[in-house]
Formats: sequence, C-alpha cells, structure tokens
Amino acid sequence: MDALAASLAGTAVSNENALAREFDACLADCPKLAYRVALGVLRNTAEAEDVAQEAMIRAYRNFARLRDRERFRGWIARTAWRLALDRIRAAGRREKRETAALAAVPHAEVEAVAASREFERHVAGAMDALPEKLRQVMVLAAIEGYNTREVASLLEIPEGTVRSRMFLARKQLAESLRWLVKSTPAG
Amino acid sequence: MACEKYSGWMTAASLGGLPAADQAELRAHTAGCARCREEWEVTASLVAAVDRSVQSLVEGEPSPQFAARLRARIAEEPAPSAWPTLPWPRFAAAALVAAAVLIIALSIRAPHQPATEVQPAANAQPRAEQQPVVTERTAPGQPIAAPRVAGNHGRGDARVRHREPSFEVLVPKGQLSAALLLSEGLNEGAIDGAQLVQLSAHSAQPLEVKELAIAPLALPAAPEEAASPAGGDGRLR
Repeated sequence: MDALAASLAGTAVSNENALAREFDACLADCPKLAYRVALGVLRNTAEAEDVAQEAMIRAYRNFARLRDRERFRGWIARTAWRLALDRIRAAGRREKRETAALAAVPHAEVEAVAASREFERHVAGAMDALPEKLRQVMVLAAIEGYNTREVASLLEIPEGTVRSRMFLARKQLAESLRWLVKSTPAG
Repeated sequence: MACEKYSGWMTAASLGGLPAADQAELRAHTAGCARCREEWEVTASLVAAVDRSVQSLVEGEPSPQFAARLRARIAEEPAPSAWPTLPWPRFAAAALVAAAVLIIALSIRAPHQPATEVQPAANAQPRAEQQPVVTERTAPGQPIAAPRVAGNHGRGDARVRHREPSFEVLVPKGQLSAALLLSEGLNEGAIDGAQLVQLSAHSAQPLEVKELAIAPLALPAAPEEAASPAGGDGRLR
C-alpha cells in the first residue's frame, strides 16, 4: 500500500514537473503578447507589465487545462484584456478627465496631424469610445500584424466576424477623427 | 448635393468596403470633381494614419526586469496541479446529480424485506405497498408456501423459489390470472386470508383412507319367460 502511494505521489510529482517545463516553454513569447494587449488598453507601460504578470500567474495556476499552445495564447490574450479593462474601470474617472482635456487640431494637413503626439492621443480616445468587441479586434490585429485568421483563433470566433468587426472599427475611428484633418468642407 | 452623397461613401471606399458598382460610381465622380478627389485622398490618408497610430499604441516590449520579476513570482507559486481545477458551483451541481442518480438506482435495485412466515392475521390485512401476494398451491401433504411477491409469471413449474429476501411465487402455467385474482382479493380484503390459510392447513392433512367393503351383488330373481325369452331351452331361434 505504501509502495502504491509512493508510486502515485511520484507520478503526480513527475506530472507537475512536466507541466512546469511546458509552462516554461510558454514563457518565451506569451508574456509579450499579454503585455501588448494590456498596453493597447491601458497605454501605460508599468500598468501593462502588472497586468501581463497577473495574467501569466493565472495561466500558471490553470495550466493543466491550457496545455494546448493555441488555446493558451488565446486564453492569455483574453485574460490580459479583461484584467486591463478592470484596471481601466477602476480608474474610470481619471481616464475621462484626460480624454476631455484633449484639444482639437482643426484644418491641418493629414501627415502633419498624424505625426503629432496629439493625434495619437485622439486615436487613443477614439479607441476607448469604440464598443468593446470592436476595440478588441483592433488591438489584437495591431499586435505584430495579426491577420484575421490569427485574431479569430485568439478570440475563438469566426473569421468573418473578425473581418466585419475590423471594418466597423476602422470606419468608426476614421469618421470620429475626420474633423481633425478636414481642411475643406465637401460642396 | 451629389458631393454630399459621395462624401458619405469616402470612408467605406477607403477601407475597401464599398460595393463594386458604388466604387466605380465614386471613382467616376472624383475624376471630374476636384473637391471630392481631394477629400477621398485625405480620407485614405487618415485611415492609414489611424491604422499606424493604433499599431503604435501596442508597440513596445516589457522592460528587461519584467521576465525576472515574472519568474520570481512564479517561483513563489505552488507547482501547477496536474488535474484541472473544476469550478466549484459546477462541480457541486454535478456531484448532486450523480448522488441523486445513485440513490434512485440503488432504491430500484434494493431488495425488499426478507421473506417471513406470514401469520394468518397478517394475511388478512396485507400491507399496502406489498406486491400482489399469491399463495402457492402445493402438493398434498406439503405445508402451504409463504406468500411471496409474484414474479416469473408463466413459468411452467410450481416450485417455490426461496430466493432470499425477495417475495416470489411461481404459479402453474395457465393459472396466473387466478393467482392474481386471489391476490387482489386478499389485498382488498374481499377474501379472508386467515380462513384461507386454515382451510389450506386442513386440506394438507392426509386423508383417511377407509377400506371399501363391497358386498356381493344381490340380483333379484328373474321371471321364467324373462330368463328364456326364446323358449324353454334358452337358445335363440
């Protein structure tokens, strides 16, 4: 009986070691994915690192059911997204103040406006105003140039859904920022 | 008026989301309208600038210390469990369902109370939950079988199966209906079970066989003409 118990314990230990080794392999690229997703939401490097670390710790605790590599990456991306949104919501008032303080830059050339720091802040504000589903595909598509198939795999949704959300997100962003560069009204 | 209409198409056209016919119409219009051509170019530039800006929002690498901090945090954690952790509410619900199924299955398969000798009084007032009770017709000289729950109907033998602790009576082939009628009568009180058992006990006693005393047959004297109808010599003619 003792031998059986020892054998079972040994098997459990060896399984746990195997899990730890597998997780170690995931540490090569997944923390960067989590960091970039969080950065896309938070736009703050320190906070993005905190969120990425928390996402990786949670992944480590649940690694037994996340061993499939593709599923793991999708899980990490979604978890980092949720954790980042939680942080945004916690600091909701501060974020609104910063967005309201943005100044308009009317009647300017597109390239000049786009190169400015202000334009990025406006784009960030417009991203925040997007519905969450549209914003999520925009952020993931922007990371390392993920194509629609990869984004669909990360979010576990159909490719067609990703394409339509991408179109709507880009259209809304462009239309909401149109006033920045509209030098001459349409006649 | 036409320019307003095409202005609304600009963003979709820049994103390649305009139907082919509309795209061709817009292209034809901008070829002859400088304002709309400029607006289209501005819109296309804006879309490209927004895309670049969104990409710049997610550009960047974690700091060099990030990996070390992450490994230190992971080292503080216990090793990952080899078994997936079940969400507690779902696990609890599954356990409850499994327990309920197990209980039902056991209650269906659970044996009834062991068979006991049924006293006449008990037969007179059978328990409501008891299955139809039939009394076994046994061979003369054997005691009547204890009432048992009917089962294995249609079997061709009349053996009483003492399979503890179930109640079972095997009835002779073709007598199932009669046995069930008797059982029903007993259950409803229409038949006095006690009296039935007493009668059965009496019938089980060996019959007294008396020697038959056969007296010689006394024939009455026949008349002469009746004895020899054909004549006096007794021969037929």
